[in-house]
Amino acid sequence: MRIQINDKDFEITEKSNLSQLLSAQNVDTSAVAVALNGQIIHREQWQQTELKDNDTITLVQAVAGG
Amino acid sequence: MLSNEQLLRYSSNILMKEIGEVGQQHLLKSHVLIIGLGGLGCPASQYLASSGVGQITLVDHDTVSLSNLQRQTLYSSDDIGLSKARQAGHSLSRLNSDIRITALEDQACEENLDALVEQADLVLDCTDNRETRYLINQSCYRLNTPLISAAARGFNGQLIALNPEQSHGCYQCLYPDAVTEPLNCSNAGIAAPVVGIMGSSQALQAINYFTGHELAWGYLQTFNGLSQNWQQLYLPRAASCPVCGGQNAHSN
Repeated sequence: MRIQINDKDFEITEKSNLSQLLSAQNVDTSAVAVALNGQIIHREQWQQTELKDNDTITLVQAVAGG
Repeated sequence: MLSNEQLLRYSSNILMKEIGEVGQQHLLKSHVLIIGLGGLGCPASQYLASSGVGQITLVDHDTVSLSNLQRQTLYSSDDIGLSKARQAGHSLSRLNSDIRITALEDQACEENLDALVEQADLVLDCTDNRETRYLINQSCYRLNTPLISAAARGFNGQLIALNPEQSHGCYQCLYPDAVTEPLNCSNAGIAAPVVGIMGSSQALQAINYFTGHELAWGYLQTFNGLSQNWQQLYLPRAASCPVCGGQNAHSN
């Protein structure tokens, strides 16, 4: 299945959940908000969030400057 | 009733059906608390003062430095070393003497935040660090006061409007890890217009709120200054959130 992460396409062969995908892609998840199809998914739900074809994932790095 | 001078000063607001004379009266009766008078707080406070928000409280403990002048448009080279809150207060009073401005040369902290938030109808978080952002979020949720939080670094900006009476998540839900940010504007750089856009967006949302328009509560809005792209991501409440979850929730 095809997954998009921050506008880049990835082809994934095995069934996987959000948590597995983030570690497979070596995403540093400290101070990062993770959204699936426009909705932020809290960390405690990553494992139970199964990915499906054409899912769009957005990673947002925390910014605090002003 | 608006005076003749007010009708003229705010005529561009009054001409729009979305604000009108009634909306202008609402603006003049509103009190906004602006915490942080840097790259976000300068444009936010300027537009809110010029638009006639009747009462503005400014809080910043910092002084103006040479490197601030790239983006902090309320200050001039003569202000270096002087209090940001006080100089911003002077600038804004010159801009509009029709409104009341209170400038506090204090750091927003656990001890003073509740008292400050309690007086305000709306809070703008224009600070430059995560620690204060968590404290402002907590205080706004404790006192049930809406909060418009923005941040910027490099070419990236973020904005979220939070309403404790609604069921979306809060700043703590968004970034639950209490890590300190290794990079800030001083050591990572910031494109001046990007932080200006974010501060102006806070002002716009404040005007919309005070004049009775609905905000995109609970949507994190991200702006990329290179692609000029805005994105909206909905933030649900985290059930385990110590600030807005479970028994702390004001709504379901």
